[in-house]
Amino acid sequence: MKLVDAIRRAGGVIGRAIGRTHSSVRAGGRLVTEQFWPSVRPTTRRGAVLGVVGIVAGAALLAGVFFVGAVIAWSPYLETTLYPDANARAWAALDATYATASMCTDCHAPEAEKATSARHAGIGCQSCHGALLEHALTSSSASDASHDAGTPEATFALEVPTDDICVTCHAGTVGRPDTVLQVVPSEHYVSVCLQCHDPHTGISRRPLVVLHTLENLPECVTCHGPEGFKARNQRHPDVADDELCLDCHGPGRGPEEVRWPH
Amino acid sequence: MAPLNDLPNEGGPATPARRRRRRGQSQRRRSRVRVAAPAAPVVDATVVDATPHPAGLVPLSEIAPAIAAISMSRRRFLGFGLAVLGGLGGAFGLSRLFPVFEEPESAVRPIVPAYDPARKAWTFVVDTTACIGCGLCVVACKEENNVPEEDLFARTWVERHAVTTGGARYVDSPEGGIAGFPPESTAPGAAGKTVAQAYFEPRLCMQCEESPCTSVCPVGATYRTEDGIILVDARRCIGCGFCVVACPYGARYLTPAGEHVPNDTPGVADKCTWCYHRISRGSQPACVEVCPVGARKFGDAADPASEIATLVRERNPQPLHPEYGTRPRVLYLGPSVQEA
Amino acid sequence: MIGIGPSLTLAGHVIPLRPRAALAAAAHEAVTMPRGLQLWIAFLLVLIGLAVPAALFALPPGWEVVGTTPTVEWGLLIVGYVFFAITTSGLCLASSLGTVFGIERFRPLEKRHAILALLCLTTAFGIIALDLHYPVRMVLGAVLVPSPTSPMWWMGVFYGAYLCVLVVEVWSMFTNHPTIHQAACTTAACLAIAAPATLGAVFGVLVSRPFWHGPFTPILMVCSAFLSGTALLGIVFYVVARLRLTGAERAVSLAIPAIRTLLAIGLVLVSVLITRQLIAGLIDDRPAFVDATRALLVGPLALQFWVVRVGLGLAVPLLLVALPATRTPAGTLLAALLAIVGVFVDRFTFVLAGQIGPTTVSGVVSAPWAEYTPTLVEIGIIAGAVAFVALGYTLAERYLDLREARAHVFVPIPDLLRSRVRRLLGALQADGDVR
Repeated sequence: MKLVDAIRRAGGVIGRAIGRTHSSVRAGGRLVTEQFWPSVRPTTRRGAVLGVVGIVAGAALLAGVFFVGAVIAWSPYLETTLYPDANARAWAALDATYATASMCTDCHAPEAEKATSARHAGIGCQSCHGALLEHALTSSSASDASHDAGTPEATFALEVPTDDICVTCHAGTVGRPDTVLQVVPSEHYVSVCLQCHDPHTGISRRPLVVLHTLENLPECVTCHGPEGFKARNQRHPDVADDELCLDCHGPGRGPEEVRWPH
Repeated sequence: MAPLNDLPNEGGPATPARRRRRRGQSQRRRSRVRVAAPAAPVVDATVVDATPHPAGLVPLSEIAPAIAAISMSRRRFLGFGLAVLGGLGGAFGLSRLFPVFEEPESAVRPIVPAYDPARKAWTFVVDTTACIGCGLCVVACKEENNVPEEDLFARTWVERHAVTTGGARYVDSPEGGIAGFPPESTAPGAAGKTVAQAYFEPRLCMQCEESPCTSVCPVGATYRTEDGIILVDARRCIGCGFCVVACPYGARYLTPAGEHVPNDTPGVADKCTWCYHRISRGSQPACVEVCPVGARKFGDAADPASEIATLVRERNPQPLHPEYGTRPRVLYLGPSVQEA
Repeated sequence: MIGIGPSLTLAGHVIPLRPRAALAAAAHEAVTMPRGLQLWIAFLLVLIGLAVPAALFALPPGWEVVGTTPTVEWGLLIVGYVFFAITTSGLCLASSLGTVFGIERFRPLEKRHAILALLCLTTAFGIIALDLHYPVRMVLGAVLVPSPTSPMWWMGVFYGAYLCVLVVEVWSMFTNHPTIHQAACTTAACLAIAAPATLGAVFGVLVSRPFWHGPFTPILMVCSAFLSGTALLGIVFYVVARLRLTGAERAVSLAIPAIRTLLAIGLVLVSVLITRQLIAGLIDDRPAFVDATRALLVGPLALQFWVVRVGLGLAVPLLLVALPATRTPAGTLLAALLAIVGVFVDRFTFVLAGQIGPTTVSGVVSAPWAEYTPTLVEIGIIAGAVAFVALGYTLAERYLDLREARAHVFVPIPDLLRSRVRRLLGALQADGDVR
């Protein structure tokens, strides 16, 4: 009973409200057409022109203000509200410096082949050669893939890394697991790693062991130096001291003795 | 408020008595000086003319006679208002025709159009038994992300933990490990001690699921994306350093002065983003790319066939310091998580 | 007076409003003020003059001049902000006993605390604006992107509201609106508990810093606030009594003994809380907490902690307020001075201890302590801030009317509410009857 009464009362209130709104809207409409418009309507041509020009100019001015304000307020707060992932997209759109491993094999197949077959297998090219994306993009865009990397046209040569990079991984250090072969660089055969080791496989070229006797012979460099007749077989930078030659080429030195017919 | 087109009245209904009084008094000006309260500042009488009005209503015409000189009709006022509304409506219409708030175009779309961040569960696994402490990852990160050169600022770094026979643990990280490690530990007090066990622990941002850094930012400038990476909006960061202090893993820093893309803003918070610009294009983070021994592994754990998912399933790596309750997404294998 | 044009009269001093006349009056004032006051103001102006270039250096983009590093990101400027912010709250806490609870002994603290609080809070905001790298973004960001999970955001909200309430309080005090003043004082007293507690929560929510983590940091902040606010009032009222300024008699008879009581309470509370923290740090099983406590007790911070904070800042003031021989205004002054320096050093060691201990590499570990040395710029800014508060207060003491208000309004808020509710209920009832 009480509930029905309440509903009836509520219905009455709502109905009265609707009726009042309707009549006031109609009264407002009458107000505009009968009283307002005649009072503001321009009576002269000049007034009409001014009125139109004024409204258009006012609208343009307000739009201009709106635009300037929007540009100023085009701030991260507004952007975050409207486009929540805009900042993440900005982060995702940055430029990379390092390439991916697969980009190198197009031109450098031999080295890549070597690198995947020996102790250095699994090490990416960029671990030693640094960031290569720019090199990959410029070299692939300027020449097509048929050009071999060794031809004169290839002018994108990079700086070859020095032996310091070998020591970074292979120096004996506390904490380094035995999965990597470690040496004490000052106690290893020769201080320059690449004299013996191929960087891409890691395998050391066995130094040729001297089998001819040294008696009655001049110094090594007389024949094997740049002036000597054996110079074309010489792979080393000049060594001034015979002692150093015999460090690698002496009998019993080097990973394996090779009997090389002299 | 007094209707603008009437003569100034003194408030209240215009009864006949008031009307008579008003007619008589409106011509005279009263110059009753206001009595100042003892503790209030006394203002010199020549500054303000204190004409009293019983209900406190001071008609507009007395305060600003210039306005009162313009006698405006109600209709004219309504007309003015309608003109203003028309102008606003015109501006609105123009702005719809030439939208100002456009979706940002050009160079802010990820290169891989099909990248759906919501489907990724990026996970990072670090194997401290494999790490050899070469520091190539630190070099690559600094190069890739233009991290400031000083060793204080590192998005990733390598620590060497050396446990002596006496049970003491010594940690050193010379320049973050960027040039490798010297043969002996450089931690203070470690010289001459016999080391029973030592290992290298690479560190980076853990992209925690319950990260303290995102919850303490006072302006919400650092946030977690749908694919689980925590980023910093450099245009909103205020440089208060709360997130830097809040990170339990020390992964954050405030950028120093100078040019550092991608933030390009000095004095804001920065940290490892797992190379978001690489992973959203299908590559791997730079540190994972250059690691020679595969101590860092990265992948989408949501893909059951991926290497990382298999690794997580089979070897069960654990996060560092789970007692902080941050639920990191970087999992470790090896002695750093085997100890209590 | 007639002939200098429009002017303002404050506490017997006439301040002309026209520029030339105002400058002439200021010059005249500077020449005729007492010698001691001249020297004091000159000294403060020199300090502020040294601080201004320091502040300019610290503005964007010159942040490299401060000594913070990624390991110790919060330095002397944050300490200065914390100190001034909690002093503001402490001032209101101390004087709320008079203004809100109507205890007669604490009445003389009324006007002076409001001016000091406003000055201290403005200074605090100035220091934090120099420390933040993009302060304007803070205002925009905190309003447009509210972060209710961040205690720093709440701290900004509370201290911002506190500033508004303080302005209303000071304004209503000098324009004789006792009801508004009463309401403002009550709101300020509530905020004076909430705001330093939130400031403590800024430190206390961080799991990464076990030294700061926990529910006791907010409590320690509120008690430190109480202590430093009381100490500052102690210094001020000693000066009032000594120089025979407005209200000197009530200062000697009521204010100074009242402050001595409050100082004693504050010192005891802070001592208890610090002892609790040290004990907790020594027996905890989190290595980072133990390391940080070690830094405080025997490590790099030991000297500041034991000598300045505990010895000079707690033990000596406690003795001074306890022993009958030193229960004099001069003794209270010394106790207050030492206590407030102790609070500053306490905030310094607190902020540093949480950061210089190794966090994730802690344990049985010898990783070195992080290092932090405040630079001259930071020291200059803090010195200038102190001088600014002192100068502002000196001018206020000289040119404002600081007599106690004679009328005190006590607004019985529960009664007001009850009567309003009753009236509302009655009206609803009447409506129901008609229908």
